[in-house]
Amino acid sequence: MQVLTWFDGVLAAVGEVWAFRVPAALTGPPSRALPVAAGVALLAGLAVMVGHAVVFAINRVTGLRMVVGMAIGAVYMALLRVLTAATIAGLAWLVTRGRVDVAAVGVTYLFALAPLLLSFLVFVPHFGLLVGRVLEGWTVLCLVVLLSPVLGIGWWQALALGGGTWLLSQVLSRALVRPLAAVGSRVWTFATGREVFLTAQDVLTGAPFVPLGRSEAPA
Amino acid sequence: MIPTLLTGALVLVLVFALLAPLESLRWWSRRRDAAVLDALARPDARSTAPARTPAPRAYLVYLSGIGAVDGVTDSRRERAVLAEIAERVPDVAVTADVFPYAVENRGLTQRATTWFWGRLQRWQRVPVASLASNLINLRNALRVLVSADPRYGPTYNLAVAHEIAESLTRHGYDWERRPPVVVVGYSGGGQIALGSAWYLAGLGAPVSVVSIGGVLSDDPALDRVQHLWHLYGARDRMQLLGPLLFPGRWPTSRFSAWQQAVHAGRVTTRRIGPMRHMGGRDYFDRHHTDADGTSYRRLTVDAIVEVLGTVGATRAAG
Repeated sequence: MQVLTWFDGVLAAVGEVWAFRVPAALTGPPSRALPVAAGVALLAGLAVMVGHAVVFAINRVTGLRMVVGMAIGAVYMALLRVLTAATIAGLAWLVTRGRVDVAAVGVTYLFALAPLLLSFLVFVPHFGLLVGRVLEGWTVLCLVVLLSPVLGIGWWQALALGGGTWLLSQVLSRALVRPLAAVGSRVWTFATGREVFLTAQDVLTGAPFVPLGRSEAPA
Repeated sequence: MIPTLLTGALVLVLVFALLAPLESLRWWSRRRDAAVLDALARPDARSTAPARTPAPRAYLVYLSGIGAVDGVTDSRRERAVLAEIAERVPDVAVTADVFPYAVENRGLTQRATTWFWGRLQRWQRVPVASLASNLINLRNALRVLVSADPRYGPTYNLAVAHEIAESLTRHGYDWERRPPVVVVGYSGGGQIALGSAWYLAGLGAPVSVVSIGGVLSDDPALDRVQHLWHLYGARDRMQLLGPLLFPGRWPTSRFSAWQQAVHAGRVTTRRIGPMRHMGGRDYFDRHHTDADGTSYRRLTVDAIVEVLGTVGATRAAG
């Protein structure tokens, strides 16, 4: 029953954030909002994994292994977002010398991920890539809209903080992508005995992956 | 009532769109790399077709538009155009047995849902029911987007290229001599012709692409094709979707494959008459004529024959 209540709270919060309203869960202390915020991040992670299912298919991971891979990927992405939120909160505390409620900033960042629940639409051919960018923009807007009332700051300050947070999250994700990909590849090879054929980054940059060239043509 | 219908239509489009990439991804995920590449790289291995004498100067592979349901029952109007081309350019072998909107050449009438697609196909000729038959167009148009998508295109185009190579082999293509191959795609077939050309060129065949009112993206295959001819009608609005939908074709994308091919002089766009994209007054219409009294069908045939006449010259120049 508690799980259902939690899930209901997560979905309600998602609906509120989509409509640019502050969710009820965010009006209380950050410690109470954290489970709901983590739920939003987890569902967002799952949707992102579904949207990028092509990476599994091209790596020939299918069936149950694909489902398990997606579930693990969703948890992994949620943890990554929580780590990003904690880093952002810590940096906000340093920059403002403790004048900002850093826990609220971190939790608000997680709630603002709500638009990413539609990330499964990234799977749609051609337009999916555009949808991904729109969702990213929507997420930044949600962050700005939520930060203003939660922290009691003006729009411009919220915009600066939201923009800075987004920029920081981008820098962090790009800085972490290589070491995380290397670790992920090792884990993958260890578990399956095969090397990763293609990473998410390869797919999203459109790298041609079939090594077919003139030399392989019939002699 | 109207909002419900619109919502239903949107959901239908979404479901079709989400399903579109699955077929080629499943095709790819069930095969091993070596098997896929060997089958493509040695299409002559299973050849039973006798060599043609005299050897054709070039091969033309025709890929139909998004209204097609398989690679066999193409329209009589398209068949008439191909027959006329074959008659006027007898040293070019013409093939038209590849269904470009599926992997493994499996037409819509060759699967479990045959009853559904077969009915829609029959409805294409019934005016009151033709709206429903647009589901065929929708389904196939989404495969065009799959072909143009950098994530799904590589597997999809590989599968179609495999079928084109098989078709060439069936028609006696000499993989030792490798005469020029011209892949002609009508409508959405234009993009798929371009996408699959990447792999056909990889086999060492000199490949050119002719698009008849095609919706073309800035496919990386443009780096490998010898030449792309985009033939279009003045009243064909559909072909304008290419430069609209694909950012690589925008003037701002100066370093895209499309812009580089244009600058290298490997893309020719030519208005061949007053045709529309599909239906009456389209590229295959023999009843309507231009101001000089030439039928639209003849204009299309003339343009393709002219291209075929330059193919050998293009190869020599290239």
